[in-house]
Amino acid sequence: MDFNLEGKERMAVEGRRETNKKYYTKVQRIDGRLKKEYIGRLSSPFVSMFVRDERLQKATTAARGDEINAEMEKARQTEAQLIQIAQFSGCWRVLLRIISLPPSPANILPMSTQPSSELPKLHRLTETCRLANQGDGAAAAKLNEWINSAPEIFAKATDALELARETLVQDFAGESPETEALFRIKLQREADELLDSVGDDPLIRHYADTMVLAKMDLVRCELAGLRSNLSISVRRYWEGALKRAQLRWIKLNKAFRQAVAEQARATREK
Amino acid sequence: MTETIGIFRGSEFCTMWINFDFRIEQPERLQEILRSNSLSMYGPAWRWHRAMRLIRTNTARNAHTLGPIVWLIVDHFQPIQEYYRSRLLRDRNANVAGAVALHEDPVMRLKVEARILSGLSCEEVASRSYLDAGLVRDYRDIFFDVQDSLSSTSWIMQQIIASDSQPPDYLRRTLYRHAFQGGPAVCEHWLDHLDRFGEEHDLSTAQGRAAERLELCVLGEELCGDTSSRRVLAGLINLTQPMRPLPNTIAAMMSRRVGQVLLSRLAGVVAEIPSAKVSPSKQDREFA
Repeated sequence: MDFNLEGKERMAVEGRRETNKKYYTKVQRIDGRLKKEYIGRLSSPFVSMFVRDERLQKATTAARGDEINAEMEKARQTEAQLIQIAQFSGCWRVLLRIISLPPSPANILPMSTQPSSELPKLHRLTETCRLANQGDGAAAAKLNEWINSAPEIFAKATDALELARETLVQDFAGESPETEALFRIKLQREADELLDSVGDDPLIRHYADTMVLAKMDLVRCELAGLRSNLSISVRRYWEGALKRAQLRWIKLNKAFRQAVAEQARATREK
Repeated sequence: MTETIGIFRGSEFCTMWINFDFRIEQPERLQEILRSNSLSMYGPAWRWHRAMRLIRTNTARNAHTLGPIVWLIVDHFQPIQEYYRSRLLRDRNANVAGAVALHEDPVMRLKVEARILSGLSCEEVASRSYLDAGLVRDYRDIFFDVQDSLSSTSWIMQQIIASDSQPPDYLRRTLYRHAFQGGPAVCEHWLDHLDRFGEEHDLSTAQGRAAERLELCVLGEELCGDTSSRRVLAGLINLTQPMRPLPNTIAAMMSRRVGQVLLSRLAGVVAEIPSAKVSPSKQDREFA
């Protein structure tokens, strides 16, 4: 073991009058005042161990701080994925309505050359449907375009959901395989609970998965903000993130309830 | 019945006085008593010490109760005459030279003994140390006969602290204590960092910090020899502790919690096994 500390690091080393021996001291801030504490003679093995322990402690603190900052940075970068899946909830009902439309007009009507990248609002869809039923050619073409673009939009949403799920699993489980497995089971089970009252439809399952992810994101932000002894900037970030996650969850919750009602209506009409 | 057996010592031929007493009833019982007496007298390497004493004194009482391993060690140093080999060695074979070489390699010895102490079987120790399972078994029989006594905690702790080397080997003492009390996972953590001991550690990496922490453990063991120094050390360590506990990352928090829950559930499962065994039999009885 190495007891020689000379030159390893600048330390609070003092001399005393009438002796050549060196002494090690430590300055601490206690109740706002600096207080110097005598530790021991520099040649003592106890002091050597103390210094090494102190250095290790400092290194550990710095490394932990870096980890927490990195976690925050990652959350900041991946928040876009969650925003994207929450935004998609705007066209949940429209998508349900389009899919439940009778397929026969799509075959008769001319195919549009390029599918539109956005779906309309519900009232515009209803209006267009009504016009197309009355024999309006332009409205029918528009409707056909939306019907053609629906699968692509849904595929995009599924991809975004998968990405967000992987990010969240990674954030929760880190490198622990048992936590990852349990977390995936938890996601699955929560979605199944949501689907209990509603029939198992691929679209509704997708919506339920999105809801569960938003809920878990909320849990994550809350958990992150609850930790004690965080630095001010980190704490502030997580507080903001918690608020945004809450808003997203409320929005998704509302959209999910509406989508379930829409589904129930469609089933009744059939 | 007392006989002399022939032993070749180098080129010269000399004899050893031995006594076989086959009138003893239950020789296994006698073997067991001899083993437990020797364990408390000589420690885990009792067979080795017995064999050395046999060679030194040239006398053996109740030769057949000593067991084949002791005679194998004797045979390794001083070949026994062919006529007596079958009676003393009883078809047992052991790689004594390999075990002695392993015993003389300080690092491999530390690794193998720590793993045995952590409660692993010989096969697992062998596969983790990249050794032959037979060699590990022979080593255990000759130098480290603790596997049957791992439940006698105070004896093991006494053997760990009672060091045969001067000055005491603190690394060995700390490592064995941690391996014995912490089990295989703790043992592997130590052994992962063992090769880097004594070097300057890079504290900016997790590996370096872990190695430094373990090295400080050993240093602490070395320094807290008596009560007063233990008190000084405790005071100093209190000074280095941070005022506030460090926050953890979310993944670390979750993993730790999941680990705790899993462990407690597993403990519950282990505790429930006897009752689980009872309940089907009761049902069976009712069914019958």
